[in-house]
Amino acid sequence: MVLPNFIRSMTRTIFPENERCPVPLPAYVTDEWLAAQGVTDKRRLLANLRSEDEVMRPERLRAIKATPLSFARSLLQKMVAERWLIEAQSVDVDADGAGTLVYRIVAADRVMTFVVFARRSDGTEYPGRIFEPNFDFLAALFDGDVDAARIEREQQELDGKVWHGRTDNACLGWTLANRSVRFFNHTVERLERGEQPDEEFLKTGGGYLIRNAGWYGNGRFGSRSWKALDSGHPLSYPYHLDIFPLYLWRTVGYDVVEAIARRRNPAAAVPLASRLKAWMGVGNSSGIGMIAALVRWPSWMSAYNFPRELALALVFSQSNAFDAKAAKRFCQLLQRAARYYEEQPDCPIEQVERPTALSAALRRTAHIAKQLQQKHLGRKAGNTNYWKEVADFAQTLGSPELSEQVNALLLETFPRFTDAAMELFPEAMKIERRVDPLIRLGALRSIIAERYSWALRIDQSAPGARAHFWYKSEENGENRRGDREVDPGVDKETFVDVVGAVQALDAALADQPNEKQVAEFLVERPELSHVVSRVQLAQWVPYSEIRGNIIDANFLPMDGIRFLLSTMGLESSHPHSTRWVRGTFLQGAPLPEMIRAGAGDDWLLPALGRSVNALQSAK
Amino acid sequence: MTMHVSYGELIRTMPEAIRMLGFTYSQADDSAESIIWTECVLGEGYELLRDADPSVAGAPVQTVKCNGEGVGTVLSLGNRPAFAFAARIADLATVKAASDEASIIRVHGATGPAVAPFIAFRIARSGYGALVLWNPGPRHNTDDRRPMLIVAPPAGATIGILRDCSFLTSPLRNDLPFACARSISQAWYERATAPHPEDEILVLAARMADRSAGELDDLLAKAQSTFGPVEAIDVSERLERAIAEGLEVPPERHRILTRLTSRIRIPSSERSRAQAG
Repeated sequence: MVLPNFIRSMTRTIFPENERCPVPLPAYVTDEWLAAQGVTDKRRLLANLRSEDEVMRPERLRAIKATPLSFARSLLQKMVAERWLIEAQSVDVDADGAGTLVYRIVAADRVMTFVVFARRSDGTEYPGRIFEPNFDFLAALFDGDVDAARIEREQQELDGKVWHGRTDNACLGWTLANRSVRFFNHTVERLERGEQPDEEFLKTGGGYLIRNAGWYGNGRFGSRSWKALDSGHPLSYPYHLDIFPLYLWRTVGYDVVEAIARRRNPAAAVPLASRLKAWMGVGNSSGIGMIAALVRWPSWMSAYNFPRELALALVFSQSNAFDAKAAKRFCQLLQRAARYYEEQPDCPIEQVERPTALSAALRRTAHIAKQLQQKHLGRKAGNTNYWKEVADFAQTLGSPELSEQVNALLLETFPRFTDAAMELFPEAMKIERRVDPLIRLGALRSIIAERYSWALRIDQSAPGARAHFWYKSEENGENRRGDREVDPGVDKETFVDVVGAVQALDAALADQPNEKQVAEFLVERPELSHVVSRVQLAQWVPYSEIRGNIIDANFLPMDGIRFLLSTMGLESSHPHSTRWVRGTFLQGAPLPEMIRAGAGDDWLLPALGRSVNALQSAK
Repeated sequence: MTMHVSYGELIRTMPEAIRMLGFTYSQADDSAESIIWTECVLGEGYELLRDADPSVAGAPVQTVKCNGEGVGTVLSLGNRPAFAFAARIADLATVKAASDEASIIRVHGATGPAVAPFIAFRIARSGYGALVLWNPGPRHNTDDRRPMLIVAPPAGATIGILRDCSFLTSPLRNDLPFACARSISQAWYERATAPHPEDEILVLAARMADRSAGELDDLLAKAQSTFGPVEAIDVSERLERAIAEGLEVPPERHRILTRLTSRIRIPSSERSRAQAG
């Protein structure tokens, strides 16, 4: 039998180590790639991969931390390496902060323009939801230079017709942001008096002046599709286009507070201290729509997870001699993380670990890690597993967040592995979920039994097991979660119920002959084509599904939201509720002048320290 | 006057629009590509949505009958839009060709002929040669809805569309490069002598050696010299252009999509507003 081309390319990937491989190894992880990472024992590497039952449970996803593979990190790494130029061409705002700012970006010889329309604030803290007409800042990112006529046209469409305007292919996307009013105003007031803001006060707000309210690119409102960017475009790496505006908002925040202070008091106003600028990041808030996105694209879900897990397995699989220098760096990072969490504001949500407790656990881990160094010092190749021992110790403390932070810092310690894993990500993102029509139903049943036993075990007839549904509201399509028994719109629910779909497929297959092919089955049951393609995808790629019942009354949307935000690069998250997560991106990231100088790439988890006076004297 | 529509915009919104034509989430997810492809390659995708709207809105779950006896498999769509089944039809043809050298699927009662080239393309993308004949029933065989034959050599980079199918009644039909293709010609004859009341799609998928693929090109050249132009379409180039540059479409055409998409949204309330986060 001759297989269609796309099926041939996928079947090569099925269970290459089917004896004990905990997860399928995707085809993009080639033997050549593994050899380049020094892997001589593939089975050992695979045995060091964490199981999907461990990683993909909602409560574990909640704890996953930003790593060097997170998109904000990889973008900044690229910006520093290529010494991008980000300069304000004009900052034309009045004493209330209303006006226009234009930034010119030169990245690897390509020009982009960021145009910001800043509105006058009446002191209202806008939540930044997608149906709101009120925002403090609206901006457009263009490929290339733009003239005044284009800026005016964009202002009419973006600022003049919020949510109803249109743009075109020259525009990479629109983005919105709001002031974090208390901290923004405090900073302006201090600067105009010639003083710096109160550090202790800034810490209580998570460390930002402006909060991102969304990026609307990749075709939205007619903007250019991300797929249209050529491979040489500086933002062609997955999600860099989505993250770059965050960096720009951070810069805009600083420029606007300084400009307002200058307008109000030209004689006395001072710039915001560079140290504070570098410490602060940009705020972000996200709601339950992220869950629908995570479920909709299982191949992307796999891509978010597998390179990270593979890099971690590479760390644990090293067979070279104990690396004292790396161990020292790792311990420093543990201490740095401990200081960082010490300064994080507390979170009122019961299920979120307290930052101070996490800080203490990190210090304890650092202490143990130092002790273990003595044990491993001088051990020769093939005789040391220091990194695994530290990670295992962290596990014993019973804190998922500690464990994931330790894992993230292990990855930080070995950039050669994360750099290599970064290469895999674009390939992982290209995998498409498709129906394999040739496979026989007996084989499909086997895949379900092997890859979805977790879903079959969930009793959806139990009280509360089908409590919720996701839907889009008439208010600009904002994603919301309703009660199935109470709220209207169940007939139009957004698909998130993977468990129900898999169970329906399993039931539909029960009376079907094993030898029947998927193509014949789906002609009769086309309503099952989506879940068939999903199940088939899980045969080829690991970590593609959240292993939980998303519509259950006890499912916490913040688990998935935190996970996705950490994957994007959010360093600290502070759930506002179990459905709404706020946090900070790019805290500590190098400022534009540092990027231009190719400096400041070791910016992870900054701590400000406790002394306000120290800042004043350093000014 | 036109408006700019992005490829990414179509990818994001098309499944919701299809759902609002009465299809399940799964079918909408499965069939979005067929409409987007048809718009990007042929500029006729929006019409598939428009034409389907009045006939199936609110319809129950779609079903088809599959009959594997006789000359091929027969599917009856009951005047439902072909785009919703296009991927399934193409995959069935491909799978049957994988085991039997070649396959023929006859689809009765399918509406929306513009999706027929996509069926041929999808088969060809899987590495098979495809011939797809759109045969309108008597009530649809009008000047603007004429029969057409789509020829797709393996790989799917290009397709040819013959809008003058008198070729099938000429001696040229004997030049068809593989035996089963003559069934297409036979079906055409049957149609002429005993018209089926419904629109019909005839789908042929066949394993083709490189030589046969070359013969298919020769055949197209002959048909073109005898019966007029064959619309040769560089699918890859059109798709890449649509992705890179987007589409310029009249606003009233795009409104079909936005109108459907808006229907999936649920009326808001204070309770609802609190359910976002």
